[in-house]
Amino acid sequence: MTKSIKAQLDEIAAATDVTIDEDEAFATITRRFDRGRRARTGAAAALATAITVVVLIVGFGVASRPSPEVEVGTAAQPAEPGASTTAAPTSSSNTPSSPPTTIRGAGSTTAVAKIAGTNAGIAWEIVPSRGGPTGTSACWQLVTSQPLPERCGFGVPDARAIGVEVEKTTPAALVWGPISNRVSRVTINHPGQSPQDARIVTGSEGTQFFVADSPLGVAIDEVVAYDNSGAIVESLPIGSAPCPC
Amino acid sequence: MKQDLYFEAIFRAEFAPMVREMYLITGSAETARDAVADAFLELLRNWKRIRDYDKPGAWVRRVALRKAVKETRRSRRHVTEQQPSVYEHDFGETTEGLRLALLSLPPKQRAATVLRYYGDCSYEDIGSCLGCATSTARAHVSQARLRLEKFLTEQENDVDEVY
Repeated sequence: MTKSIKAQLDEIAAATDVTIDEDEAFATITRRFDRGRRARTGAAAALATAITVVVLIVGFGVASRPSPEVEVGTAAQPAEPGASTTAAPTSSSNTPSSPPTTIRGAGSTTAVAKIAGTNAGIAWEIVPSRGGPTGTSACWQLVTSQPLPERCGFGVPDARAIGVEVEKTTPAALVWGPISNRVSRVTINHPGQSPQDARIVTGSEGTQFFVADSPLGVAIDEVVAYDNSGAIVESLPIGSAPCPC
Repeated sequence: MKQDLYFEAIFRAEFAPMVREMYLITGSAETARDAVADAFLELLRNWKRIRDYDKPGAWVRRVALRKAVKETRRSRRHVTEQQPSVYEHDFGETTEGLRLALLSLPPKQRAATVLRYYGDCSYEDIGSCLGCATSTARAHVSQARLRLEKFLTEQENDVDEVY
């Protein structure tokens, strides 16, 4: 049986010999391979070009993005002589000569009515509806090429130090700063006055803040944070509040 | 260039025998040629990796065989629907009987039979080519033998009845 099958299979298989053209088959295979390789090379080149373009776009984007970001609090300030009541412009910019630094602050739109750059290379804008510590107030964003102190609680004097003029238009300035979650009460202490309770709010990123309107023209001694039992958790000098991050 | 010569050497040595083998499995010279050509194309695409194998030809055979079995399964469905002529050659009466018997086998049994009786493969090699265990390969061959014998006996009886 086995031998018979083998012989017959040989005979059947040999029938296909007339259809086999090795040279043609070899040429076809190598041609198909070359065509596929060219297609793959072309696709790889197109992919490489696309990646290069994306990298360049991202690179330019990163280079033009403001950094680093510093949380900012606006400290209460004495009333400015001749304070302006002009509505805040929505944006103003000029071209910085070095990678800009972004500082962010928050306050009611009226409280931060005007932050004007007086130095070349300082741009600023008010960014509304960005949450802010109260969740309802406008945020302001200052973009500057000037070196800034790397700390929280960057206030109006600090802004002035780098040449940014800050003018208040309301009788009170927003005072705020980050606090730990253990804090349940915050008071703003003005000299010669009773402590003023600040509101405690949770920001859009889950960080807890204290917020208060402080009368202009009155210096703040300190901000005191208490826990549930009434014990003092922290005493926060204005302008150097602990960073939430 | 050396790689290309080695590739061509393998091609020249293996192409025709493989086409014959696949022809027995698929029943179509065209399908057999395509399966083997596709397998060699795969070899060329993976040449850097496979050129160092002990037997690159065995790799090609395995690829071609799987393509052939797959195509046979597909064409069996097609044949059932349209009943075209699968073989194009006139054989003697006995060989024609075997051809028909072979055609009646399921693709894997057909492949196992061809590898065993035409390719002189061991059961281990058959299992490797078909992607199954050695014992399964042995079972395929055994079942195919029984079916072939039954088919051929029935055919013989039919012939006797005619005369």
